[in-house]
Amino acid sequence: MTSIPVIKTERLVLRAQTLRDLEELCDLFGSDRARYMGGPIPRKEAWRWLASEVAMWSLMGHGAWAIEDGDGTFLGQVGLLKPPHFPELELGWTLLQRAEGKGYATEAAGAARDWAHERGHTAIVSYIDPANDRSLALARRLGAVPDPQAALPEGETRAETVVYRHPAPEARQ
Amino acid sequence: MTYPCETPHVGAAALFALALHRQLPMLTTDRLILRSPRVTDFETYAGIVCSERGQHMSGPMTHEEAWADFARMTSVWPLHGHRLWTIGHAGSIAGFVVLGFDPEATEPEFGFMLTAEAEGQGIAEEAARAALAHACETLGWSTLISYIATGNTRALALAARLGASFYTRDLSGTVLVRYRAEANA
Repeated sequence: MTSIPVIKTERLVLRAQTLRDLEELCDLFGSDRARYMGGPIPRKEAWRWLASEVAMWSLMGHGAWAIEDGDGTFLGQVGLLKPPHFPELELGWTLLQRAEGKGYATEAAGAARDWAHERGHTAIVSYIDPANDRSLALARRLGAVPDPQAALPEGETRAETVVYRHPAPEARQ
Repeated sequence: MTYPCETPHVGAAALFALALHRQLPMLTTDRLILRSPRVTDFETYAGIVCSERGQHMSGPMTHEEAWADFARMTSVWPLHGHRLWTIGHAGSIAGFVVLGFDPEATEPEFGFMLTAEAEGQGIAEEAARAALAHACETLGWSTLISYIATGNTRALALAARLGASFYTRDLSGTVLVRYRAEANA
């Protein structure tokens, strides 16, 4: 069984997900908040989707982390994801409403990206709905830039997906 | 005061509005996304047209006039397939572009307005090039005009960079500029 690395940031802990975390995320996927993920997403599909991002750890050596604050409150997830329909490794995030507005997503995503760089992943993208202003702004805060030439996930169009490319390690120094 | 009509709703109607929005054209440049308006754009729109910056667009407007203007400009999309575009810049709104026919106009017009924060970064030019290319290549317009106040040196300089020809319109000093399709090829 692959052990999922624990990362500590200034205020947060990135750790392996629990079943309870998945249940909360399934609630999110079934709600209005999933409108930028093609949602709302039926629970059966959501559970399998989320579980596959946990399974990626065993299969690929990277995957989704739970994000927890200093009080142990679950805030959402961040991950390095590459399901079969993604042409590149994606840095992705899904934050619960209670986690908004405090810079948690920036802190967690930055830590995940740094971890990926340390393991030699230099080409990292985020696939973002062009209507998802919050995520576009987050990608920009992380130093990513739009890449209009980048390949899209299979089956998606430019009306649904904008690709932001994260700076390679050397570019950030 | 912010009224319910100006704020995003939740539930099925909001999802329907988003689905409609996705059907409409979107232009992507190196840094920007030009897209049809969403209700959350109104705050920025009002911020511009209700201020000093709105004086060139029959402003400054009151808040109620701004909503009426925004709704009217957005409503032309289902009628003609274009009109008011929001300039999206990494999740924020840099401003707006207008393409098309004013109520009594005989020729299509191009106009833009930026937020103060968006100035000085080449955004107006990047958005203008994308909008003018769309007007010529997709909407099939061979010529567009703009009206620019004589004192608006930034807009005049941009028009020159975009290859416009200049004509003085009237004694108040408004300059009429004309873009032709081949000048932007």
